[in-house]
Amino acid sequence: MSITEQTTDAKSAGARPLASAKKLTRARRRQRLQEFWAAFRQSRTGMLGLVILVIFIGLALAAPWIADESLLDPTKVHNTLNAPPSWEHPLGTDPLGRSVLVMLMWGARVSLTVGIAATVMSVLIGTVFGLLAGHFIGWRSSVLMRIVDFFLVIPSLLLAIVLASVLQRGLLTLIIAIGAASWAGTARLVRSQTLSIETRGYVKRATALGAGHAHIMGKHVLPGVMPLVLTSTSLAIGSAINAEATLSFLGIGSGDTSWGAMLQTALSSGAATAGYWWMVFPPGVAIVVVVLAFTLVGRAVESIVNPKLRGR
Amino acid sequence: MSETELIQMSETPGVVDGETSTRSSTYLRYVANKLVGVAISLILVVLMSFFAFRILPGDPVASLTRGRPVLGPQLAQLKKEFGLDQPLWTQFVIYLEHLFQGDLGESYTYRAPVSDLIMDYLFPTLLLTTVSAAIAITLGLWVGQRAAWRRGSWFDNLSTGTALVFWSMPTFWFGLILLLIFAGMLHILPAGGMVTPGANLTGFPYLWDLIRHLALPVATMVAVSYAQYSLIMRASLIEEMSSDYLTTARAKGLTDDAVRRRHAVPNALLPTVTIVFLQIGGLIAGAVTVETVFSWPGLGFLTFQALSGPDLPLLQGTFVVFSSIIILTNFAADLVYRAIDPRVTTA
Amino acid sequence: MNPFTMLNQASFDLAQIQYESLVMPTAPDGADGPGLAEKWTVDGNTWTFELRPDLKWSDGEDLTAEDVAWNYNTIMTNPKLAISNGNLGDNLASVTAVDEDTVEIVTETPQAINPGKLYIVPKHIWADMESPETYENTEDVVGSGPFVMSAYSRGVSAHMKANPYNWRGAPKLDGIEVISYKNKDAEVLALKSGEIDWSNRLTASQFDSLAGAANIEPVETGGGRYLGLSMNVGSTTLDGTPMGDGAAVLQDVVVRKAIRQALDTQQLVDKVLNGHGWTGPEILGPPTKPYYSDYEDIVDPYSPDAANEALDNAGYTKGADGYRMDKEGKPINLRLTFDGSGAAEPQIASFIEPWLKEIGIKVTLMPQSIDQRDQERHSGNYDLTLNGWGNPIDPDYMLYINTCGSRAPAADGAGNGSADNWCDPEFDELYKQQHVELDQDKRTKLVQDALSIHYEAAVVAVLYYPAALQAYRTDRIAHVTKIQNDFTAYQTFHDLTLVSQEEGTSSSSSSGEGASWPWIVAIAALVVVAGIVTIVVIRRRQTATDRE
Repeated sequence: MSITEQTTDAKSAGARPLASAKKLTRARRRQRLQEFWAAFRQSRTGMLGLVILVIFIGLALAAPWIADESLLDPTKVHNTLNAPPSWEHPLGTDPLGRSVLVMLMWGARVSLTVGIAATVMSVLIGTVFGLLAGHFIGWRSSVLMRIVDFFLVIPSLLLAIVLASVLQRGLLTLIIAIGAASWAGTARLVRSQTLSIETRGYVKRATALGAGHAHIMGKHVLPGVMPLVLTSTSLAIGSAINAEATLSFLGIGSGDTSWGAMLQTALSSGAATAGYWWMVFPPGVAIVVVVLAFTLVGRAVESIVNPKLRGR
Repeated sequence: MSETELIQMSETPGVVDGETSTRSSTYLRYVANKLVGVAISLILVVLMSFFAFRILPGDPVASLTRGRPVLGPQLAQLKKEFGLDQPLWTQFVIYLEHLFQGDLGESYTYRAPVSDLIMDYLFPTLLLTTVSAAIAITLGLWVGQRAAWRRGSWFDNLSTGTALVFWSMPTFWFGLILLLIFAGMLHILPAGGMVTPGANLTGFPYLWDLIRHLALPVATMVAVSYAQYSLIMRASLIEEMSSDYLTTARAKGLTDDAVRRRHAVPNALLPTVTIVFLQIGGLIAGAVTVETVFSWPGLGFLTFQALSGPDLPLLQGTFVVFSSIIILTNFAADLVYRAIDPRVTTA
Repeated sequence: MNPFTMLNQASFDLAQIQYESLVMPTAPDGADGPGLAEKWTVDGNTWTFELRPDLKWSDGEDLTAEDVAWNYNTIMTNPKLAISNGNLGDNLASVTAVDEDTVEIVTETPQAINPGKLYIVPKHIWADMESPETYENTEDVVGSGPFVMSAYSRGVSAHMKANPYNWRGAPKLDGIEVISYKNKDAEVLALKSGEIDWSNRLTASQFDSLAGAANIEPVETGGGRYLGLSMNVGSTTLDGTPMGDGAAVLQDVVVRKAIRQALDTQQLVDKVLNGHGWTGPEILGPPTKPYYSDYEDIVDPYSPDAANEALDNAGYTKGADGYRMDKEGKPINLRLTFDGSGAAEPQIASFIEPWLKEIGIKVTLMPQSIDQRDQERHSGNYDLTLNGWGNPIDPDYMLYINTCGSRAPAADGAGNGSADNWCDPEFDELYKQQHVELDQDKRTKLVQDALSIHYEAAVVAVLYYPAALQAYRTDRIAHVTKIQNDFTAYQTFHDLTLVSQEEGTSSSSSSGEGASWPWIVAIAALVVVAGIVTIVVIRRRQTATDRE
């Protein structure tokens, strides 16, 4: 028995079978959500992360209104190339004369989209695999776990690189490559959680009463693993954003303006050695801040979901 | 930083999958089971190493001769030499035959046996990753246990914050910044490579030269990876500290320090050690970007290079070697965990 | 570094300082000059080369006409050894050693290209090998060039020691260290800090940043390379069977010309190259003297208005969204494929898209890996693609890759040596004529006539010719002789040879100066196609012992 199982057992020790009345359920959910929010607000670091995320996501969404897309078109801008920061361009300009600040804002859209979408994909695949592998026993579970183990074994960066080279370059490919290379960890996590939940009384009772596989997994196990999955999601978004930057650095990005692509341009054009720090620092710092923010939120959620860790 | 690292980190408390056998009498069966798994994984790796890379776009012959004046007959001769004129199935049979004889083929780009290439590049990667891992683990465990013991102190807040910031950085970006500062501005460390070429140093000067070259890549890998060890150690120690037996130990009159050293830390080490084992494979793969930034002559960069072309024999070789290392370390981790799990040994 | 089977750029770079050929590129424009051969004569199909007297290999053995003949005959008869330089043996009928110092090369058909460009390796080392194609040749190399490899560490560095028997005289420098860098920035930092002394294939930003650095001299030379926007004219295989999926609308020369006219190529030189390059109409650029021409009377200068008008007149009407439709009324949408991993091509693509939008042509950007891009190009699966070629000093090969005969034998594109899958019999005829024309002025005229046809067909819109950018440390290297640059490595090594030579010949006082330096080093860095970077260190003989 693992530590996860121990702790989650402890957490759900007081859980009672779900009431059948929908209204009651909904009310309870709302209440739980409120409790959750109240608990989350207690976490200063979690709130800090959330505020940062809101600001970044807000800027990313508002980018088209703040800075017109034509500012990214090198044929339309006629600024000094590689200009250091000034009042006009607070973060300087890039090798084609575009404002780094504008690119940073537009790049946030791509980086956040890839980060979130790849994570959603990886978590979806991982949850389904983990649920199935945990619920079924015998050879079906073995086969599923063999697949999961195999994906764990393949260096994920290598897998992502291969996928990105095989498929047509683009945002979707990048999302698929990162998502497909990172789901195995979630699958393992979900599986062990599923195994522990299924040993509990209410699930056993439901099985005895003749509940189908779909019912057990959907109604009993899934709600039990969701908190854990959500926690790992917010942590995984950060590393997906990092993965996007790494793939772009290795020259297999999507071709859109993202933070990773900005860094790649800065590096491959020699901006770093030329001392154009305003092209090297802003995208990197943006990545660090956003990844950190996602991590802080993730940890705050984790400590609420997993009370033993509260206050860490 | 790879994605699995993160997921595994979030998996912190749940290290082992939930197989429930605990009796030592089942240990052998457990090992046998795992061995079958290892064998299946290895077979899959061999199959995949051959077929997966064939779908990579690109014509190796065309890539190799890119930008140089070549004529049709030369291209045909090369294709024949690489065996690429044979049907895929025949190529696969030949590949298997050679593999069983321990022959990994000859690299297209380097025109040298793949096994020689791997031997040349394996040591630098192992050196870089083991030194980094050793430092990251030591640092991580020390920081983690100290932070846990003084939960909420300034040390705890500062170290956790620092660890998280480093952990959030793209490895290559941090490496590059170190490079710009220490090699570019201060000129106190070399800009790349493993030794000073042509210096032909031996003895202590050689070691010193090696250390100077190792400094930046190791610093980069340690900074980005120590966080997870520290956070895991911290979390598991905190959990351990709330256990009843510690209260008992304290009640017996043991000092805080003794309680920590003799009871809490050893127990908390268990999940951390397992994670460490599971991370070794990821660490090697994570070396790709570090090796690129610091021109480190390692296997990660070699693999990345082989993707262009594609240099199929080299890719197959490095993939098999990489994956085998990871499969075997994971196997070792499983065994070690089972062996030292107190719930097993005390049962 | 097997000179018969090597394929990667690093091997070629290293071969170039270890082995010499009968004729060698010479400063300032890289034209064929004396190498192992002192002089040569051509009479129809027969080339006669007079070797320098008393040539020796680096192990002290005599280098004779017998060695030269053996090398040529080997690549002509053994296909396994014709991998690297088989193209040089393509048109040869016989190569014989007439006497100890005379080689006679008879070609099957007359050719304007000098056949004396094969690197000659020592027969006494190679002839008795059982399987020379597998010999790695990385230790105790015997060659004729100024330096030969003495130690090698794969992927890290190669040590080259001076060859005292080189015909120019023993190099003044003791050795060269070739170092591999995988990160260009690290290499530039190493140059700045004095870890290395020579670096080349710099980007424009790196080059500009080095311009002000202490003790560093940036060197800009003409490149023989062009980068162009290739347009799929309707790819066909050798027998004329259509292949690939190119957009039909590009088969109209009016559209291709309009696209070419809509590109403000000077802006690309200014912004993408930071001014380190040139623009021009055809595939041979200004550095390719004497074949370069500006084709003044036929060139369509940059003018989006004229391009728009031409498209309007040709019946490509604009839809409500401002984009044009083809003659069946379907919207035009062209794919632009390019190498997404480097710096330049993604930048260029981001210019081309809005420029073509100006003339109502919609472009979808498709970054690919360089391998994928080439594969699709070879099989005709593209509309627009960025495609560059570097040519040796002689224009023959640049024309050859545009002849009908270089197209793919089959629709899978394998073995396709064609630049743009284009075919025009009239062009081919001129290619053949210049191929055998020995009179320089007449040949120049034929080449320019051929390229006029190529221009009128608007197969490729040439974007620019980048300059070759290098830098060296002035506190290490006294003087550099510029050679018109093409494959940078090629030149650099010859440069280096010259550096050491001139240092040596200038006066004996230079060694007096040298003594005041702890050690004198010259370094060359070469970015290999695969992205590996190599560096060379030259060390002065006396000082090497000083350091011990």
